[in-house]
Amino acid sequence: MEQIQQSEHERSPAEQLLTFRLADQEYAVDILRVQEIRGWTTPTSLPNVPVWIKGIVNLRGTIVPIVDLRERFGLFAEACGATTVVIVLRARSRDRDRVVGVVVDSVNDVVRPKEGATQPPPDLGTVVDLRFVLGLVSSEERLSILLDVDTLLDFDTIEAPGLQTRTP
Amino acid sequence: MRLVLPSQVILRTVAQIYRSWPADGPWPARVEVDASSVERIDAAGLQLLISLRKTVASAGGEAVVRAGTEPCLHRCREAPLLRHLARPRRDRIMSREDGILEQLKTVFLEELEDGLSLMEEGLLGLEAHGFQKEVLNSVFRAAHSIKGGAGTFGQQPIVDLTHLAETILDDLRNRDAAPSKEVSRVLLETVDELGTMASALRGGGTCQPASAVVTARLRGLITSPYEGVPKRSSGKPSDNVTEAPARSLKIHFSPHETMMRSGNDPLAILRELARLGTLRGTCDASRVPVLGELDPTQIHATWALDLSTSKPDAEVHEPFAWVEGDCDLSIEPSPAETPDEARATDELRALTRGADAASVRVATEKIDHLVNLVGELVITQSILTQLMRDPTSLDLEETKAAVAQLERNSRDLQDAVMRVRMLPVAFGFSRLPRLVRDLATKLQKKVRLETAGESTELDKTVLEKMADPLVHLVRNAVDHGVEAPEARRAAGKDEVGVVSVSAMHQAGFVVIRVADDGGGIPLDRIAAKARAMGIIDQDATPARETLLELVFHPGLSTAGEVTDISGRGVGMDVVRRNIQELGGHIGVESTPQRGTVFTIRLPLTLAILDGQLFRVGDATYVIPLSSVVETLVPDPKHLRMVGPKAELYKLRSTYIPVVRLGRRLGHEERSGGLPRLLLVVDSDAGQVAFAIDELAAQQQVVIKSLEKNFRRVPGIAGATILGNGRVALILDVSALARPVRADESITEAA
Repeated sequence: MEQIQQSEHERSPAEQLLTFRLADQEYAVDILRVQEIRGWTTPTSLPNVPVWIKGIVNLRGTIVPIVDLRERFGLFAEACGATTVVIVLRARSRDRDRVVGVVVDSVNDVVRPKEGATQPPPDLGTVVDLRFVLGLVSSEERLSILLDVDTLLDFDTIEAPGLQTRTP
Repeated sequence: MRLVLPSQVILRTVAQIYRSWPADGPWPARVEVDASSVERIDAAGLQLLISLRKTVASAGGEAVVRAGTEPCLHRCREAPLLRHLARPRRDRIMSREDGILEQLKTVFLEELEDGLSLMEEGLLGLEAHGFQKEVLNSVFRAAHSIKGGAGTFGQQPIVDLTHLAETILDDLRNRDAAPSKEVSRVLLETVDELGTMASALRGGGTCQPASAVVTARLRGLITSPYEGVPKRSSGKPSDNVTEAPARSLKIHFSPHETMMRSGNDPLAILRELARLGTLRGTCDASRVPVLGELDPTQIHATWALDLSTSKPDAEVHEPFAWVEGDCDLSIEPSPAETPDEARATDELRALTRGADAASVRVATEKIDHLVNLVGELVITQSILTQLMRDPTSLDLEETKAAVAQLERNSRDLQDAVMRVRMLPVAFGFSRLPRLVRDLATKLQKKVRLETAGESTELDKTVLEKMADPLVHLVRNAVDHGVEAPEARRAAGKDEVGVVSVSAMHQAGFVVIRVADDGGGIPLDRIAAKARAMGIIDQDATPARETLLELVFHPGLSTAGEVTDISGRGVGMDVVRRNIQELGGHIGVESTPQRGTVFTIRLPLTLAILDGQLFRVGDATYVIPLSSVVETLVPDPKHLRMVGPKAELYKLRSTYIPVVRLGRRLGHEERSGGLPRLLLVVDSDAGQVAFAIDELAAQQQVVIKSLEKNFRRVPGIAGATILGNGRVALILDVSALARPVRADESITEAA
């Protein structure tokens, strides 16, 4: 399993985004929220949690939950293997910070969108729950969905009924 | 031995006083100097007292100065020589007195004195630098906590006096004004007076009423309007053109030995100096000889002072005018600190003083013990290094022994470090007597509080988090548990109800019990309320245990009416959750007419657990070793089904429930049948058998919280990292032992 550390970019941090791929769509998150990028290790599964929580792993002594973004977005789930990538994010909720890992298909690059490149999200249909979307970012002719890390990884909010538990 | 000082302890009389003391001893263990008649004292007199202290200390005793109203003798801010004198040595007092009350009182007095120090510094700072919001706030807060602490310890005179000061400070705060010179003077006098009252307490006396003079002055300020000095930003032009900007000077003042003979008193000089600004510093009294060698007319002290002033240099030299030939004096600008920096450090100090909630007072013997253990660890480590010197000729036996020793050292060190965080539960019990008394009076009941095991120690964080639950349980006991005196008499009980709170260590836990001898929990009323709320079915007849458990159900209160004390039904579930979050359990037992007992079990430490590892499927789990009763291979003949879901196992003569952990923990369902192994455990709900596949090691595990980055998961107490780097879940035995309820699903939020 590899571990790639994201190094500090010299330029002004607020305008840098890490882009990654999930199914056929590109997404982006604020680089400041990214702690590191890791390879995949099988997490220890937790009982009685939503199906998009794959379990917990040991990250240098800290217990970190792993979220499967595909399942979170209700996409077709895929098996996780040696090529799966986990982005470790820092989410802020109310009074404290959480460290959470999210499973994605692949990580792309860091982009620096120009002024005004971010637009509010249109109706994305059923692609992603609008709660999680900050906007749409266009950069170098690519369009990414900018995700709100804090709401995405807010575990304290009660989920809507209808979500399935992990079935044995 | 008691030595009484006359009203004038000055150079003129010092020689006389000196001759009346037994300069060569023998000195008893405690010498009390009664300075209550002293009206004037100068450097010679003070030096005499210093010399006395040294002499008595070198004979292994202690000299205590019982001060009167002469400010110099206890809190004199202008004479650094004295500050060091009049405060009795704290460490001596701590080691002499046992008893929790004394320990608490000492802490209270220490905090009181810290608060007074803070107030003093703050007030002086405001005098020198004008209005500073944070400094004023910190002075106010200090006064407020002094009042609170004194209230807890029933020292009403201190409460009353501080309240007056607090009123003035609050008013200043609200108007964003600094105290004027007059107000500042009165407030500082109040601080002094409080210091005297504190000293009296420390000396073992009772709290005397405050000086009528000071009280009158404070009251005078409150009733008649007074001026505060508004913020500097209002742009008042300076009248005094010759005033230089405030600056910091370093002054070294070493009087020659014979300086006092020419009639000059260093203290008087220091007092003059102090009028020019803010004077701070230390006195070096190390050269003051013991009584046997002292010439009372010679002065052996020197001072290193910091003066922050805006007065010109000429004025700073003025006080020393008469003694220029009799001393070594140097006055220089202080390079390091500019006035702004001084102000900033004042503010910073004021701020950090306020935020000491994240600190622990530790008895020195705990630290000594730690030092010893580290010493042993170092020895073991050097043994190992020695053994490893030549790896080819390694003595296996000796190395194994050394590694075992290392393990022991580590464990001991670990225990000792944990103990550093521990405080006696008495701190958590401190609010209770007052609470019981006030509540009983309010409800017109007669209740007595009994406490036991106050010296039982508990982790500081656990103790802090237990404070509110304890208050809640005791309130309930007085409010709902203990009956009114008439009812008690009618039932043949003593009119005075007893609420008892006790703590003790038990098998790796601290057990806290809150019991009352009241009417017991009205189970039928609970059942009725639960039916009304739809928690249980109309026609169900729930077991006693179930009804008792319902006491912790949110929203359930059988109080007839909601009083402001309790009855809203929001308490017990929060209490239970708080306790569970600490890794503990709470259970309740009740007998009608006889009383109720709440039993709380809390882990001794939050971080480390002696665990039993085992496997279910291919996952490894951990439960506290202390909850394991036994392991056995089940006999199929003893396995019974009761109803469609419940399974029982006959263990010797009792039937205990069987919990299919695999199913509960979301594993694939094995095809029912006989479990490979049964792990019998103790839980809040009694003994229960977990169906497991394989027993693994017993080892210490470090508890990692799930809530930190995730949230609480029902049935899981935490996680740990095994030697192979994998994560294993630590199970919440009591939660898993209970029968599954419909609401325990993923929709249960944290």
